[in-house]
Amino acid sequence: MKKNLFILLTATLLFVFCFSFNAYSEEKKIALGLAIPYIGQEFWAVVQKGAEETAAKMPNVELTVVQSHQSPTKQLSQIEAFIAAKVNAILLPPADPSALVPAVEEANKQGIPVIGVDTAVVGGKLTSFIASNNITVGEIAGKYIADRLKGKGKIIVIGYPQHTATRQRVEGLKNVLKNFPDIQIIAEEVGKLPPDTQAQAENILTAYKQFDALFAVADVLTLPFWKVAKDLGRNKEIFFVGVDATGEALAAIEENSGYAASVAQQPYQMGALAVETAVKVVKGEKVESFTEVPVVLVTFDNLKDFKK
Amino acid sequence: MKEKTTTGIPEYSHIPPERLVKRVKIISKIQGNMILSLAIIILSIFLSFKTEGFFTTYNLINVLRQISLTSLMAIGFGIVVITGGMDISMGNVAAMVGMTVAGLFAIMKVNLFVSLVISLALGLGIGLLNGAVIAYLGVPPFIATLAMMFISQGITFEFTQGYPIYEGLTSNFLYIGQGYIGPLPVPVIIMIAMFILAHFFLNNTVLGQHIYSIGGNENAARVTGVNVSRVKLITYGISGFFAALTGVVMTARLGSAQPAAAGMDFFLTAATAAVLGGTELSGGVGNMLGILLGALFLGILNNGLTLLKISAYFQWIVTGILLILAIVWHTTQKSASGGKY
Repeated sequence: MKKNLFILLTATLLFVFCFSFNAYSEEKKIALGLAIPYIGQEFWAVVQKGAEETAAKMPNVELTVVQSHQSPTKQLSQIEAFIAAKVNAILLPPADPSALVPAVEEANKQGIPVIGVDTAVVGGKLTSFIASNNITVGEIAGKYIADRLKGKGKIIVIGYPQHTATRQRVEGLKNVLKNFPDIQIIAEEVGKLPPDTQAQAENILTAYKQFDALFAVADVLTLPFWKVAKDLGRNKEIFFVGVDATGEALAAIEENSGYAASVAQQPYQMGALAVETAVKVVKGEKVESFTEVPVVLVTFDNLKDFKK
Repeated sequence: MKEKTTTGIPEYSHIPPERLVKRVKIISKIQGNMILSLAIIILSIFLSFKTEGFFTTYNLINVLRQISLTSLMAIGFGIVVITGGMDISMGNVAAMVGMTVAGLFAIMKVNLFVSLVISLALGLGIGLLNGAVIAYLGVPPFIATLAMMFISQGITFEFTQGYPIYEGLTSNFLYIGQGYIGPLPVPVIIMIAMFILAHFFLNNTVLGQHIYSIGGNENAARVTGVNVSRVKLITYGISGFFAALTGVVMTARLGSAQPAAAGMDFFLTAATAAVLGGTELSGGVGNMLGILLGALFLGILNNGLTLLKISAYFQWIVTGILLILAIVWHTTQKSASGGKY
């Protein structure tokens, strides 16, 4: 039994290898490497889709996508593998803006252009940088909240301060709210990960009896709060604002019952633009050093336009 | 009572030694659980005075529902750990089954009952596979289940590509996670039923006794005729089943199957509940009441600290300190009672 199982496992492994080793084999093509930093998040899945579909449409472009799970060390080794495989350009949305600096420096040394995506690394040289401005994301949300509250009210903010991009969203929000002294942030909490978000939402809504709006830095975090408030019938007095415009958030906005808005980052365009820019770089064309992917505020009123 | 002076433990001299050991075991079990119960009562009284929201039916029912997912996982984890084993794949298996049940029911439109049976059987099957690798191939439990953790995580992400499933989860499915029977939420009822079932399984069946004896001393159990490999196989099947059950209830509770839900973080909370409840990682010691109390204590703590408006970072620090304190207390109790009860 032991021997048979061993043979079976070995055979499976060989089978898997046969299917995975064809990425770098062809020549004369533009080989691009994209290292996605988080798996299991809709946002990154859409970035990847945008990149892959764009690459598929272009002749002679071969895009290899690898993923790491919130692990800068793993991403570092993936970039090293790209460098070793001599890809023509690397697309890098870093899992951590400082931990990936050595990877970028090594690529610079080998003359491989690096296109920054979403978040910029703090050292090394990026040939081009494609991102939404996360401070703008927060500012748009802040402006919407301030307008809707007519400059007066109590709000709760849920963030992920451990990530630069999400921290900047809160920063942007506060930039705007500075101008509205009557809007008070009564609590600023650290968001949990699902399924613990559910318990957190229940506990926070129990702890804070009276407030007017809640902003969380991602829809996946805003949604459980809205659902719990709806169960409690408090979704009339409180409105909820998220970021990312995920499918689930759009369905919530469509209900028009408290999930007021989500700031959309357009990840598909981000992935597409990254590939287009990288191809231009490899062909020797001129590119902008920074391309901003515009963000859009999605509310019930413009939902139909956005879905197009 | 004639031998009063010679034995030194006169009151017990008429009791046969095996029953004496059993009695001491029960006493120390009750003692451990009593301290935890006392801690829960004190914490609850404190929170009732310090916060306005704590002592309300709404909040207490919330706490019970919040601990139901952790508890379901902790039951399976506890049983494996009592054999001296380890199953760290449980979080990722739960996530995978949570996605599977949603995929079957919402996307492939499979009948609810069939979806549930397939999903739970998947968990059971993965558990049995873990068990086979551990018991028959001799791979250490930590390594075997670590491998399964990677495999199940990989399968989950490969098939979902990171997208959640939420459309098509109709109310009959969501009832499992969001419905009520009388005043009690369905997940709480599932949790209580499973605790009772697991308690009787461990204490009143031959297999349950074998699980304890393997954890106490594997070689001794083998010598006395216990089929150690078979018992281990079944045990991992059980933990796989409980991981699957957690995944199904979780998806129904959240109303959305999230591929990134219930990873290591969530699993470790369940493990913490089991350890706080007196389950020993070295095997042989643990009981279901303790695990329930451990989960309840963690749940009240988590809820209470939020109601006291204390940040999530601080909650981690408190949990860490309490875990150390609980183990230190447990160890001193053990040496006071002269070794392994």
